[in-house]
Amino acid sequence: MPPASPATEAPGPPAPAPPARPWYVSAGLALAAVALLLGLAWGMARLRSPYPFYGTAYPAGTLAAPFRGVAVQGGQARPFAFTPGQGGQATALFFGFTHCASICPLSLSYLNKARAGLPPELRSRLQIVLVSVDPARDTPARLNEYVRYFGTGAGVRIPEPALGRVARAYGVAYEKAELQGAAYQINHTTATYLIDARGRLRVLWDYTQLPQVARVQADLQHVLETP
Amino acid sequence: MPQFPTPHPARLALLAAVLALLPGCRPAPQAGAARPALTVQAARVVAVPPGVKDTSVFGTLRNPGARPLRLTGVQTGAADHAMLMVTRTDARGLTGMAVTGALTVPAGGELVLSDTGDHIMLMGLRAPLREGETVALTLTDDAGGTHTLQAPVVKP
Repeated sequence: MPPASPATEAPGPPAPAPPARPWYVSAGLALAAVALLLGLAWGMARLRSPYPFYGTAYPAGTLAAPFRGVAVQGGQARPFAFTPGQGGQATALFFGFTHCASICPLSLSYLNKARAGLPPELRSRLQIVLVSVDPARDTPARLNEYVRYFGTGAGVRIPEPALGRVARAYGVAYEKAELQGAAYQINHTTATYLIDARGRLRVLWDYTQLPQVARVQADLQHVLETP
Repeated sequence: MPQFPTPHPARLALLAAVLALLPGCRPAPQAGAARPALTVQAARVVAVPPGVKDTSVFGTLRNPGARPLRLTGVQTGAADHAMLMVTRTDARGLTGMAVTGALTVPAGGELVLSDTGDHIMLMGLRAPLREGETVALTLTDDAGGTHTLQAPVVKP
């Protein structure tokens, strides 16, 4: 005799219908679902950009990469360790080189102007850091002379291949470009990265945005006031 | 006798007389000159620290003439090389400068030389620039005309 299989059993009487859900429970569930959806949307928006930055906002909690190099400090070339947020300092970081004839000096100038427009108590909590993408020609002394000519800040030399890793961590690209009959130039991405006092990447500005000094300054002020 | 489709000299003389009598009709201001002058506004050389030998020249060039002015060269005594440059950003987001053979100032229009676009680059400065000093530059156009501009050295 073949074993009885549940599939072959004759269907029994239909199961009794579940008791009707009271209307107020349905309404409550619907309301809860809508509230959840709205809450999620709001949360996502807050996460993306809680403040209408002029620059491009990073998702909340994006950690900035630390790096090491050499920079002139106290008149001498010394190891320079960048630990994002260290000492409660925010940092405007960009990558350039001193043989750069137009974008790099102007970037330094715009950033210094934006910082100079901040209230004094905020001004001292923002440092400007230039990392050279031309370590073959940029010595720490040369970088220091360059950065200090346009304001205050640190000019950091990171040798290859460490420079390549730091650049990748920030999404920076650079390559040598031969210029006919003259010394070479470096083509590079031109963003400035703003890192807050907790070491988070908050916003980046493309170079073409920097001339709007007042708007850059407003972004700076917001990040310095809400670390 | 060969036939030339030439207006009769007397008719030409009459036409010239009528034109001369029209009150609003004057000879163009540049009639005698080889080509219209280029005017320059806010010309400036970016001041750089003494150890840096490269810099840029910015300003606004205006061409009052009726024809586009094609600039094909630039010279200065202040640097070993002076070059006409364009700023380019490639598909990967890399921005850089490239030498260009010509920059054109449109007819009746202007060409802005700036840090984000076209500009003049000086490479190999022969002496450190001092803020406030003036650098003379000579632009050459494709018809052989020259245009001199005086650009003060300004810290950006």
